[in-house]
Amino acid sequence: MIEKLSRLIIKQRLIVIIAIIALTVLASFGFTKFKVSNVMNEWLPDNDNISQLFNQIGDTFITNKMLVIVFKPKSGEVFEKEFLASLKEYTDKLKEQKEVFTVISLTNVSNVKKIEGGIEVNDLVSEVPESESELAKLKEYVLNKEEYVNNVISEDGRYTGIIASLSEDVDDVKVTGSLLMPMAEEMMGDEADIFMAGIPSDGYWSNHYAVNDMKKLTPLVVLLMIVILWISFKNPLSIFMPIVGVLMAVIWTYGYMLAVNRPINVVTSAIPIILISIGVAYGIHVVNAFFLELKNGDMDTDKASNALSIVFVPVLLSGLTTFVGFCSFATARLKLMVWFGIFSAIGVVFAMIIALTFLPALLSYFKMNSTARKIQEKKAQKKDLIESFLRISGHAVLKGKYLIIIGCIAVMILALLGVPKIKREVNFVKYFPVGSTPRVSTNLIRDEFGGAYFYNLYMETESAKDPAVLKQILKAEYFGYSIPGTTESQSVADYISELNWNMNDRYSIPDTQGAVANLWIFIEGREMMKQMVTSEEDKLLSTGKVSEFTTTHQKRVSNRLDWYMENEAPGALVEIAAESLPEDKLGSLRKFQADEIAKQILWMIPQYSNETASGFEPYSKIISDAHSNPVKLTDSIFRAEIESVLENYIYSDAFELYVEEEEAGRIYEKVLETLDSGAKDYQSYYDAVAGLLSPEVLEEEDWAVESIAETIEARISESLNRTSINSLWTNLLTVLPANLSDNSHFRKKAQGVIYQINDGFVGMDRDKAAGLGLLDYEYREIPLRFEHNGMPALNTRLDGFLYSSLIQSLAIAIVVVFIMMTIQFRSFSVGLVAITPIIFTVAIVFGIMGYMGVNLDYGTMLIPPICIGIGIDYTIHYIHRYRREVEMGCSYYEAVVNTNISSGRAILSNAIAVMLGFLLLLMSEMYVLRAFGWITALTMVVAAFGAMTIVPSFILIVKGKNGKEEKK
Amino acid sequence: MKKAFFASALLVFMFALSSAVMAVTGQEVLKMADQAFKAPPDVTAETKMILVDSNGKEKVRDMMTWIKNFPGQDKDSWRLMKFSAPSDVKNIGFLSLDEDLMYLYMPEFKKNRRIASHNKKDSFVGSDFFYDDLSASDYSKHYDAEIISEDDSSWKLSLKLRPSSDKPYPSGTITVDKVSHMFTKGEFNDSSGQLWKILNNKNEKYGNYWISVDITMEDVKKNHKTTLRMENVKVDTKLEDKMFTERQLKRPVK
Repeated sequence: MIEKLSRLIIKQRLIVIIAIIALTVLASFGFTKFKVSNVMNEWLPDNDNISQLFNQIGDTFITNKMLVIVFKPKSGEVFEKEFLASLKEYTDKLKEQKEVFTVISLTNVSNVKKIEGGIEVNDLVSEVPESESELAKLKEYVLNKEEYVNNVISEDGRYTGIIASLSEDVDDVKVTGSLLMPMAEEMMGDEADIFMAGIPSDGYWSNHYAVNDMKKLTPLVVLLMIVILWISFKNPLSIFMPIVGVLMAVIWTYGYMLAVNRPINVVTSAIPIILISIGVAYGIHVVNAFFLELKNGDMDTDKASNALSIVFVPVLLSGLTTFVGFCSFATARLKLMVWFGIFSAIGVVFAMIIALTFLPALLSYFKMNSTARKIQEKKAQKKDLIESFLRISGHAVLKGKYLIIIGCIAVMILALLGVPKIKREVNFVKYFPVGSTPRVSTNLIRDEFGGAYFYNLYMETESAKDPAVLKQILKAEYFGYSIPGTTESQSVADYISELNWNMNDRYSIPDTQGAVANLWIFIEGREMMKQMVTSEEDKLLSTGKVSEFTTTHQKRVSNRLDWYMENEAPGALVEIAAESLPEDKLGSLRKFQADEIAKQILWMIPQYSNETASGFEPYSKIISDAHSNPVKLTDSIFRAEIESVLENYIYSDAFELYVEEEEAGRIYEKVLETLDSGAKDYQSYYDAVAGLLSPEVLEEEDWAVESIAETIEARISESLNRTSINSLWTNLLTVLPANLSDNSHFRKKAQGVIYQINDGFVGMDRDKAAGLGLLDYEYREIPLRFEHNGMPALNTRLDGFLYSSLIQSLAIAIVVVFIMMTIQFRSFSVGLVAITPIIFTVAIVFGIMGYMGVNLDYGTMLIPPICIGIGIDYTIHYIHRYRREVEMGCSYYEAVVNTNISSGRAILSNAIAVMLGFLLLLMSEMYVLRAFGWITALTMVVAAFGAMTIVPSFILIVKGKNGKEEKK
Repeated sequence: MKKAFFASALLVFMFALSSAVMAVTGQEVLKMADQAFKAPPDVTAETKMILVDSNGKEKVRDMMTWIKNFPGQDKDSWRLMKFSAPSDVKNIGFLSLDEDLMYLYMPEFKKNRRIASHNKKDSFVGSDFFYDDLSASDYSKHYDAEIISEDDSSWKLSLKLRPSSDKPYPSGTITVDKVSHMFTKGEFNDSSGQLWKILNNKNEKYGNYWISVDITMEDVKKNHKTTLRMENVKVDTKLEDKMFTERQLKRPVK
């Protein structure tokens, strides 16, 4: 059947040539969709929950394409009129671009501040200050606002940052290069140095360097192949035919890949090199076979058919084995490996088809004149250095077969000892050259702004305005303070707390949903809300930054957040009504709250102080004790405050009754009298005020009296709270690190947390509430889904899959190759022998990585599968040739030597060519490709060595011969 | 004969002269629109605020609106709005006495808080109206207007913001009805001249006065729109000044 097929191909050679060329032209149209893309969340399986949530959050809040842009004035400073004006103009213009979803900069960041008698929420720099003094005031204000520092301004005020999110449906890499960078350069380039970092920027620069590398290195690889092949074979056919074939295979593979909308990424960019390595080998074997026929005269269709039929099976089997080997990577969970496996496999098939159809069809036309034939014959007769080396090495194998096996086993054991030293570490920033724009920018942004990679706290609930929900997100954010290498995350809970602080001197979430809704009015519709809460108000997001992109750091952050979700976040959230509890249960609840407060304060401390805090118990005790000693109405500090508050209220324009000053005085005195009696409830104050009015007035202004009574009740409650918290704070200062006593930011937030001790409604985990026996009283169930996500979660999952995918795929590949080899050679022992060199090679790869400190990442993870794919090719050709020699009547001794000389030349030259080709990657600008290049280069040689030494050694040992010539 | 000719010529000349005198300028049309808008001494209405997001989802808020104008005086209108539904915004009140003097009442805290919005582009309670849009200050004070076209029913004016003014829209066009002298449509641009917001007004006559009873502001960039729809409109009910005070801001809606 092979002969029939070979004859058919040769007979229809013209059609074959035209068809292959036509297919190549067709495939090249796929390059019109040329695109390089490294979107990490697309590498996880579709059904992976981390990836699904990452995408869901990205779709809902448009957060997956966030970029940090930093400006440093070239002269002067940020807080100068001209610079601020330019920044404002740039911000406004950037916001207008349809590709941009949100922009938060120094000029438009939300500013919540107290003004006289009121509150102001607006853009921080809605108008650029004119005078030096106003600018200085602005600078001082900004640098003292915690929420601005490390977000829109660096700690020393020298750099200003912008956080931009790109719209959902844009090509973020393209937009970064074609819009964001040119626009920043055009509008700010004269005044400022510009730095950019974040996923879109990383993608842009990865593509930039990858394309540069491809343009630079591909021609060099081809040239190198030509040189090596010339040195090895010294005839034009052996050079150009394989090169032409493999280039066609690359065009077909990439053309197909791009046509099915699969962009090139960090691993599939290695496919051309793999195809060059494998495809060249196929081409060489085919050309060699044709060349042998030429010795008997000019090429004709019979000779061509014969040559093809001889080489068909080994090339086919080699191709199929390599195909199946790469296909085994399609079982990996990491889609990155799946695509690599599938497209490499397809590429191998293309290379094989071209080698077995196009090349033979072309070669069948080859004519050699007599002079040329004589030259070739002389060359063939001349024993060159390579042949001498191969002959000697063949003899060496015969003599030293046991030594070879023992030596290889020892080396393998030594290599495997290096495996535990392998670190899994992906750091995209390190991929870029030292001193390159992306690397410098990312490091600067890490140092001055805490990084450009984000983590998320995500919630789904019934109402985002539910105080119980907002308190949970705030608690989680305080936990985030305790994680090194992160900046505090921000959410709508922070804005509500900030508004409450400006309104009521209390940085916390109000107790009722109505109160939250009242504050919400101030921030509704503002730019930053788009990425904090959905318009349906049923999903919330808190976003913080992670300083390093390294796998180690991201895993650390992810693990800490996992711990929090496991141990602190409520599995099911309930809200207990404190007023409904009897005394003993209320005590348990307050103890629980005291513990919660103590925890949150301890989490916050590392953010503000390097000093070690006292243990948990002192804080919990102080807080618990304070609650059991509440402030009384007769407390002098309380009285001083409440009298002032009530006086200001009753005499103000906002007092509900229209009264003259004298009457206001009477009301004030009556209220104080009621306070003296120890009353703090609504009814007492209603009766007190109503008693001063005539029935007619009361009837008309009943609403006013009700409102007055409610207001007085509220003011008394607030003052009591404030007094008790101030007293508690004084006690806490005795255990807090000394340098925190003057820290107003810490005080503001810590006191806000402490206020929780008097909360009327307390949110907690359902099981904990049940454990305290609180579910027998009034409580409310709150539906809540609470998870963390973002880059740490994604990277941790990718890392896990990277490792498991690699191990699983390798194991499957080795087993599958073994099965195929066993079937191919119809021998279990030959199957075992065949996979030994690749196992040896893979062990060497891992050993090198372990001892040389080369991390396992998306580049280096390709090396083992490439070793299998290419290495098995060497082994198949060696075994085939060996068996043929034996079938032709040679002894095992002669067969080994002859195989070394014939197939060995092809194997060696291919290995050297491929090795040098991979070594060219040392010229790559990207670290990941350089590491990938030199290790793969080394392993090519090891694979060839294994094929030419381990295989024959095992064969000879298994056959029980000791190297003496034996006739079959 | 000569006399007849002379008389005819004089008649034609006087007609042309009077036409020239009577031709209205863009600025005059804009001033007429300002005056028409502020003509009713006061307005009371039940107002529905309907916010529609880019997915077509609606959020409805009900409120009572009281407006006091000062026709003929160089004084901003006073405006009091009290939300009545839904429950999370009930009794929140907004009082505007001046473009820089506004109060918000938060019933949960029992507190009035002044909100000084220096940024004219701050959204009013998440709607597509800016605070500035609701302060209803005269357009003619802030914009230079030219007639770019007209037909039997309306004038179309181009607006250009005066350098001394800080209104949110640098330029735009408005259509003024020739009968009511009220805006019927407006298109407002951003700083780069791109269309930003579209205003559509439906006006109805109450007694001698025209009232915009359905005002829709659409943000074309955000694909979001807000409609203020007035019902049960009462005009010239002699609203007292004391209606527009911080005290009254606290009064709950029924």
